[in-house]
Amino acid sequence: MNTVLPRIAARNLLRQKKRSTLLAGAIAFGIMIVTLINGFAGSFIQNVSENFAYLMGGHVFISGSEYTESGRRISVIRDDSIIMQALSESGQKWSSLQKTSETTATLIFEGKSISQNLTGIDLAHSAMLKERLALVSGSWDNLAWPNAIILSQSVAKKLNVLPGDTVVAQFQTVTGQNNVGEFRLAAVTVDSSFIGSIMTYVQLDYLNSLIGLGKNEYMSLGIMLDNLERSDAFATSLYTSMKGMGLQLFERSTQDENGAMTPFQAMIGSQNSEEWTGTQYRVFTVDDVLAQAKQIVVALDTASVAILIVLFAIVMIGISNSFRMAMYERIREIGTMRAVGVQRNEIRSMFLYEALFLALAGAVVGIILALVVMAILGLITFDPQSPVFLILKRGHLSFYLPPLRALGNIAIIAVLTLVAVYAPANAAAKMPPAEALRTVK
Amino acid sequence: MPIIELRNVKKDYFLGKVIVPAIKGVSFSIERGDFVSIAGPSGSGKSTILNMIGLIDIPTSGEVIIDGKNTKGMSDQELTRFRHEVLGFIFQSFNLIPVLNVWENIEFPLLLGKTRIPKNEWKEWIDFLIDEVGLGDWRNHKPNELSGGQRQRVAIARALVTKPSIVLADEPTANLDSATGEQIIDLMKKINREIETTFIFSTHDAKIVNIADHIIRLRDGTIIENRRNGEDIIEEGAAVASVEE
Repeated sequence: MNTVLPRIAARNLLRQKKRSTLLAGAIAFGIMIVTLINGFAGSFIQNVSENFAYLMGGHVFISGSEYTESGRRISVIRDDSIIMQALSESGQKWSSLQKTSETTATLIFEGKSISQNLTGIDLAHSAMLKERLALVSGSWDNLAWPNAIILSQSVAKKLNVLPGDTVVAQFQTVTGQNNVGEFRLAAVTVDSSFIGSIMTYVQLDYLNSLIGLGKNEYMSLGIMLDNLERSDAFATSLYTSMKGMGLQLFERSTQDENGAMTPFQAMIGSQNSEEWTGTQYRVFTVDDVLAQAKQIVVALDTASVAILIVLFAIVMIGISNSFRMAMYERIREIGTMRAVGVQRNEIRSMFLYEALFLALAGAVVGIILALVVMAILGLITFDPQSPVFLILKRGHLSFYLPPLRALGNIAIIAVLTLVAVYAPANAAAKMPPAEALRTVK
Repeated sequence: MPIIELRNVKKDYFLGKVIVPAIKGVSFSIERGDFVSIAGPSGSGKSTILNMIGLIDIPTSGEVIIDGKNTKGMSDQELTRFRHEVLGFIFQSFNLIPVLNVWENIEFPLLLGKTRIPKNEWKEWIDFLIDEVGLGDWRNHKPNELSGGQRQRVAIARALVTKPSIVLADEPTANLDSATGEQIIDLMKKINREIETTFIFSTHDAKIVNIADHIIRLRDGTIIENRRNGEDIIEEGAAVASVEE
């Protein structure tokens, strides 16, 4: 391969440093913006899913539904021995399991009240709680109390309640009867997010006894995995395993024509168009719940491509004009090269090489700049109460740039630049050598 | 067999709708190894004749035969390849490639396709040419670091690097002072004698015209004198041209 023309092209770029710097700078800026959006979108779904997984206590969930004698549908897993067997036979690994029951209750203390979602878990043995929640007051030791309750700081403040105080909760049992219970405030936690602040944790056994579930019963089983990306494969494998054991299961899908319109509705048990006897189980993942969040990622990615194209349409006009000027400035050189034996297509290639080098240099600088900006933004610590907390990773913005996406952006820029430069490059190639040599600059 | 033969060559330029005849039907031959001067005042058609011999311009009519090959009807690609193999160029404004240094400028034509010189002899040959034109200490310098005379020496070396049969020099001394111009002509003459390359240069400087073996003098696109080694040459085509006029 003849290397002299690419060499001349590269040196021509350096010859007009100001012009090249400006053009490469424009490309770099565009690539940086697009890379930042891509990087944000890349980590957005992961962070939201991960944060949601911790809030919900799992990456994969199994919930049970059954009809009572009165025809009321309740959420319950009465005997999990087959589920546990299916779990072990699925051959998949998990980090931890969390049994959960839930109810909506009104908490009352000295005339003040607030509505909260009570999540019943095994407080004393939950690794997730200690990992994710920071205490403002109270103690982890208090979680051994049989009627312990953990409130977020904002809720405790509204109720004006302190650790050790007893709070009354008013709620309905699973069969729809009104009931009350007393909870003792064991600890107050930092508000970890908007959603975190409405989460109230209580002892699973105590909650079950109040809402009418048995000692070893619960509503859903959360399975925490070591890797979020395995959720779907894990759920599929578990589903197959459970089905193989003869359990009744809802079809695994994000939407189904008979029942739940969204996974979230499915999760909270609003499926009501079909009936069955015994317990029917649903296997779903945090990603199923967050299908809408995925749409945000798709929107972000689409926006980034649109920005890339609009931004670069503008940059390309500048590049095209600059190369047209360069062609006229170098017209005698072109004539000389043609005279000494450079073919037309080689003249065209020389300009296209120059454009390609410019695009690649701009793109690489743009990506490096984006990585630097990502690193700087990643250092900022956000307020735990910030509404954006759900999209953060341990309180920091995080970015993930899929390598293929970065390469794709570089390819788009390279192609657009080549398209922009093709017309002046072609004009240079078609210039008759004698005419080019006659031209007086 | 002459190395160059022009048969009733005409060249018209179009300025809008106006046709300007630059060469009005000239015929002449040039012998291999000659040192040829195409002389005449500005606008007489010297550069146009050189461009057509150099195959960078195409006659409106007539034939240009180079090294026994009729170039009429050749494609741009064939003409370019033929130029590369047979011709070398020296320009009035030197026309070096500014981003390449002296050595690279001279090497440049070798990198463009087939050459008569085996690749393993390139370095030795370029070094020889650099020494021959007296730029041994300047090989790594860029054109903008050289004087006009030095640049023209680089151009001479570049024109010779592919060992062409013919070197065309369009007013090679016009941008140089007279002393440097004479040195350049002497250098071209020396190389012409040493390696028997045919040199054709255009000039309007009467002092250097007479150094040539063969002088073709033009006025208003026609030949007014065609003299080789002191003797007038009567070309068949030229007679036709004068009858037409």
